[in-house]
Amino acid sequence: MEQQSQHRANLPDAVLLQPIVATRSSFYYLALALLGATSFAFFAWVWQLRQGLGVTGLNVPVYWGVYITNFVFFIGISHAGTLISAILRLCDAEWRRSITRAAEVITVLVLFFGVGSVIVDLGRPDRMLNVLLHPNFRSPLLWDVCSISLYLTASSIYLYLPLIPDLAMLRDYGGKYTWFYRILALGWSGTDRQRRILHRAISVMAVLVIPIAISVHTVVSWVFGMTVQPMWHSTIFGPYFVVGAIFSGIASLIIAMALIRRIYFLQDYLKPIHFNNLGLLLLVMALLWFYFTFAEHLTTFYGNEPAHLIVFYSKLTGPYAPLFWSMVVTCFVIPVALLSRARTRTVTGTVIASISVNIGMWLERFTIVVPTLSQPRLPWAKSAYSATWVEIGMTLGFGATFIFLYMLFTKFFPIVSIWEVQEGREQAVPEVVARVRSYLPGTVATTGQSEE
Amino acid sequence: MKLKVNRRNFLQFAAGGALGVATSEISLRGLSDFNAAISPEEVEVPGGPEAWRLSLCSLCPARCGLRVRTIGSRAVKIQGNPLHPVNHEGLCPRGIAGLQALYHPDRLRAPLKNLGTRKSPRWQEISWEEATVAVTNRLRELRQTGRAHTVVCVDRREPDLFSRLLRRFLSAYGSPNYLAMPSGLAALQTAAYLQQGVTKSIAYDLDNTRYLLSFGVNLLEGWGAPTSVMRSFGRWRDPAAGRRTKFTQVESRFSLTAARADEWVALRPGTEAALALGLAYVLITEGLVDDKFIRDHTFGFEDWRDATGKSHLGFRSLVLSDYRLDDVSTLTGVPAETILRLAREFGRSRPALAIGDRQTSTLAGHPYAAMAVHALNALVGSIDSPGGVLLQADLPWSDEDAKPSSLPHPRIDQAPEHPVPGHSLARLPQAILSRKPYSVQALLLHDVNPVFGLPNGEAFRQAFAEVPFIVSFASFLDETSALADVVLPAATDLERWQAADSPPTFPFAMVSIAPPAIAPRNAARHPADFILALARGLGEPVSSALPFAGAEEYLRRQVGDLFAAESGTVFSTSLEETWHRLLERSGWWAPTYSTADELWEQMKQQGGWWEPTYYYGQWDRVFQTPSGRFEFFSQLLSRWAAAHPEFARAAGLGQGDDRLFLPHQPPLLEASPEYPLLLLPVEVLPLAGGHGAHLPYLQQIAGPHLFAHWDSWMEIHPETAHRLGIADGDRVWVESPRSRAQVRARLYAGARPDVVHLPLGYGHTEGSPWGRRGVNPLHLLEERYEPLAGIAQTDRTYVKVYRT
Amino acid sequence: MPRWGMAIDLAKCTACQACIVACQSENNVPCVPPEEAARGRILSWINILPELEGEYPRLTMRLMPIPCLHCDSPPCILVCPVGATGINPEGIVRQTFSRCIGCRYCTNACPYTRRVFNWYKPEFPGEFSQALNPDVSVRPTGVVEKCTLCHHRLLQAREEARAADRPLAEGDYVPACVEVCPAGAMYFGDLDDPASSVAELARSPRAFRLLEELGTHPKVIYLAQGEWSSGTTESTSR
Repeated sequence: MEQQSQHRANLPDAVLLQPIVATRSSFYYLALALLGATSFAFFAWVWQLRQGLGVTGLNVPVYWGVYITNFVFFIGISHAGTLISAILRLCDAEWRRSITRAAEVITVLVLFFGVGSVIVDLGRPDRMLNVLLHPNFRSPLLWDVCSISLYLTASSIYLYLPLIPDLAMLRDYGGKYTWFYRILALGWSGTDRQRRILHRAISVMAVLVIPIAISVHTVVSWVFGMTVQPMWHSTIFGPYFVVGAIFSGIASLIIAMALIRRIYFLQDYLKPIHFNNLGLLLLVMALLWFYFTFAEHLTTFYGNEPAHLIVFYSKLTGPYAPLFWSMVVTCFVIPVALLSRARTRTVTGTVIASISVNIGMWLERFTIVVPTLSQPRLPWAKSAYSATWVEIGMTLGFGATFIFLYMLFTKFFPIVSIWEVQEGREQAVPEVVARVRSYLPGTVATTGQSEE
Repeated sequence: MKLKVNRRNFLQFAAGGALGVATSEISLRGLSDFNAAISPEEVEVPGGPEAWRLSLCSLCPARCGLRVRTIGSRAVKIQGNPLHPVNHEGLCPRGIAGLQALYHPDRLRAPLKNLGTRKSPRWQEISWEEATVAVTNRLRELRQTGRAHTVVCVDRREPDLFSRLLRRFLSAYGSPNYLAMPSGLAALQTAAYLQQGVTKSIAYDLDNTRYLLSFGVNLLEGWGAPTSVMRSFGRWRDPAAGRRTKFTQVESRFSLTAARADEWVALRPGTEAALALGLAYVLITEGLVDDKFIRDHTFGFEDWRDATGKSHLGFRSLVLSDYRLDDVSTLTGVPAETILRLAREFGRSRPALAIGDRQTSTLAGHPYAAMAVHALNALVGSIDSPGGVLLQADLPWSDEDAKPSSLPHPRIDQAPEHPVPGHSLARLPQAILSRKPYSVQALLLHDVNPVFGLPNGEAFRQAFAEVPFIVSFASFLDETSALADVVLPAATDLERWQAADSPPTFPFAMVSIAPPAIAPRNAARHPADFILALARGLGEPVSSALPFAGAEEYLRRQVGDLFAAESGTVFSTSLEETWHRLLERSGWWAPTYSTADELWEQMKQQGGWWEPTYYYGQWDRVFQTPSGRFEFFSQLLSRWAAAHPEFARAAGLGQGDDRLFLPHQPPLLEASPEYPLLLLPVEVLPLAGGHGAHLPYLQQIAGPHLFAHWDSWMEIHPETAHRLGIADGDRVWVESPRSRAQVRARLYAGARPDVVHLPLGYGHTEGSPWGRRGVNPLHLLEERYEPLAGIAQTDRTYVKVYRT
Repeated sequence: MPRWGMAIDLAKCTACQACIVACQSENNVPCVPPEEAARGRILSWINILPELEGEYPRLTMRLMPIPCLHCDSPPCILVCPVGATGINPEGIVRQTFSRCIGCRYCTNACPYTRRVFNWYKPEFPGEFSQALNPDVSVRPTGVVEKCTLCHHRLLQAREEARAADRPLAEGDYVPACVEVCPAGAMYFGDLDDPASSVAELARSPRAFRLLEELGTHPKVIYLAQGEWSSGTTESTSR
């Protein structure tokens, strides 16, 4: 027994198994706090079910508010995982190895909260099944249902497949819940044939997941884009939302990585270079996002159509100006300032930028949804929209529950893909050397360690 | 890995497929059932046999004819009676909201007796028998001790055949005190008396006029018979009519009526008379007047000499000297070009009609201004002619009950310093408190609320506290009923026998009746039934004066008189109506009934009886002045003033100044530095008449121009508000010398910069919680009464406004 | 097959709001408490839109009663995920209350903002529930509702016509708002019947459609106010 634990402790990457093996008391305290927020949200939800949607701050004409903002926001974050890890895999970017698992988990978990946000927004959630029984395929919301279901399925598979070797490792480790790991590991024994199939499957999924992911946030944007409402009916909404999704996704990933790095002592695996690379990606997305936002607003301004200008000015100088300009600062000014210089593109720097981005992107969703609704084409009575405790409680509860579930995941599964890190250590270096050699003139592409 | 296609695999595949389909089929249906099961049930509305019944609305004096849809014993919809000559199938929003009055949660359920004091009442529900006995005993006692005259009855102002019953009762009982709430037409009727010598209701032929000049009349927001007015409005602008009647609204505020007019002329509040006389100036100087009419049917147009040889001022001289175009323009704020153009349009579009001044259904203007406006009609010959001013036709029975009382004691609300009508409800508190000419011992109130609805409401509260016995008929425990000793729940419109005669401004003689559409809720009863029971209980001579078993029998007898009149027709389609008119013009009368019983049955079926023909040119009916003509110079007034020298002083003119007897601009009240803004109460259609605040349907639509509902709002001009640091929606204090109140300010560009407006109907302190919101502007007003008729002047209070 | 449409003559409308109350009474639309009204949650299927322009004393105000415009190309029916709203063959944009899941996508898609939502369970305090119309369902909490052109009246009129063995005549089927208008400013009928008053008015030079440029093809047509001119009423003396 003693020997076994010694052996375990001396395993390379033993720290990656540490969260599964042992749980500190801080976990329980944090879990309790988060579950407290969850129960508050649950209470708010039950209250809303019993009273009606009137307990929110919604009114005429602002029929959508915080809940739909959350929906778009959470679905946006879901692009973190799958898209990032899929793209990085396809590009053979070696620095992805420690990141992919953390990213994929974000995706799978947050999709539930995205869907949950829509469900709590329904006036009749008890009639939810009508969506399956009487679908109207001309409705963008129904495209959402299909697309998100597909994405959830694909992402789950895409999370599960690379998890299999780690599950096998856990099965063989002989700790708690071995039976659980055995079932999930599907009899993985690491043979060449299995590895080949696995790699093939992962590659196929990586290719499939990308268009699915893009379609998800495109159809979410089309919920707004397919109406005729001013500043919703915009042709660039599809790509704009996808860019925004990837943007907030990367930011969420950075935050998650920084947290698990600190809490689980993964400094060796999540190094400044990872944050640096992700920070560069974040910078690119920030610039792209700004480009789209600028184009969107400039064309509206030039178009000079009265109905559009009313919404436009309500965002730039009117009641929503504070939110709008905060969004610009938090989505563009702060991130670009921090990420464009290598000196500030540190772990801390990228985390600050990411937090700023996430706040900004939530504001961005809000300033897309609410100003258009509050300035309808026909000038009916104005009612200001301000969220009530129910909406705020549910939002915080959703966030807390998400964090809790993420934490729970780390307790049962390794948050860094162990076998991929090992693979990187063992096989990736020579592969990369060979690859680079193949680019350069005068050498024949060879594999192996000839000119080490 | 290849899939071997052999029989075993195929069978497995097929079996699996079939099983899959079968289970999915079940699960889809199961899903659907499950879905239905977890959705909570919806409200089931019980059905029943459908029947359409007639009724009459009483939320305003128009008394529109209703057609009520009943399902079983429930009334589910109120619509217009297409055969009723006033409204046909149209209704104003209040008529439809009558259902909420019927089924209101705060309605009184049973007679109440106050076991406590006036200040802190303690109400106990009693039975009708107990209530009847209590009231009968008290009245009997008063009569037997020779104090029958000390009983005062205050009735609502809506025309009702049952009002006659009440008057007859009082008369037989021995009291001269039949009082009624004041009407918004009081100034107009005063002018009609002074200039035409008539006390009958003035009517207007709105359908046939081609030019309507309205001096602040609340035409589309509850004035007159609202649905009838709106119907005429629709006809003016109907493309099928071939021509469009111009409607010009002269008003300081951009009201809904002004917004719907063809032209809105903004003027300084209170200067309507000056503008009317300025128009007269142009009409006279440009020769646009109807010379023939002036020559043949008017008196006092030119200067004249009386029997003693004294020279008197004529209308023409007054106008030409005092109301020159530029002076009028300066005073009223209306550009001279506009006055010129309006007068020319008015003079050239015949028939033209001028109405005014400043009337809503409850607020009357100033009689001198009404005289000035009425004079315009005389100038263009629009009196008793198509499209002009008419006199409401008489009902074909003698109105014994309306004759002035021949009893020895005078009325309690004497106002002898007013030439007309010589009495005023506003006097009642003073009379009660001073016990002159006698001490009031009992009050009989029929559906009235003077404590809320009159500017001196507080005085009424104090006075009523002194009266030993008060009985009040009401549907809700309102401010006035809360002071009573016995409160009797009145049946609402749909629950009782209804009868009405012609509404205000309606030219034709008419009697509408309707049986109860549904059974009374709870213990509500028809006030007429109670009065008849009282009469029986009081014995001779009261019981023989009212020998009717109930409301129905009383009506039946009245209809018998109608039959004897041998004229008119039962409500019918427009085709039949035209045929009837044709016949009558030729002197024929071909009724659809041959006995009184048939008339009664037909009236119940169709809604009533009326005489659709108006006989124009009956000058001896229309002019009952000393000269037998329209009097620009009112001799009735000059003769009366000769006997009452203090009148001149009250009117602000010198003794012997002939302007007292001619239409003129009354003196204006200026603002003071401390109170710079004029407060003008406004009446909005949903709350017209001051009722309706307890009905959610009406509260939801109260102020459509500002999206205002459920609460008072104060309209203030944006610049004025900006100057005072007030933003839209801020809570502010409105303070007058009399009182102050908090209200929400709303910026409205339609308010004159130096005027603020508050809507009537809000500010209840008793009754339904739905009505207990907002501010009652009447309690902010200073009590001012004009000298001719003692009409409360509601446009003379200045206020200051500041943030809370 | 008739194509039902409405014409509203803005010259004749007095903005009395009888149409609003008649609709609420006919269709069991609940009133909301004052606190809810202050939050802009009054339920009305037809409402008056005021537009004030100018400065004192030169002001104009347009007051338009606007029900659901029953567009021929309604943006709202496309977006309902469960098909709770759609357009029937006679042109009425129907609302199936029992299927609505309350997502409020349609309320946001309507460019005229003419759909309303039940934020709470409808309340009929006291005995107000006695006045409910049995021909119209009472909607529960959480569903969207809107003007149905009093479709229940069409069904009843058809039944009566069938029972009397005659075709449906003009005037047999009118919505509650059109029926009650005291100024006679509202007209209703078959737009495809060239002889009907609505079809004639739709051809009037005064006719316009609201937000026509959006391509919704609304079937409620407005007739512009028009103006008085002295030529129309001047006459020589009597």
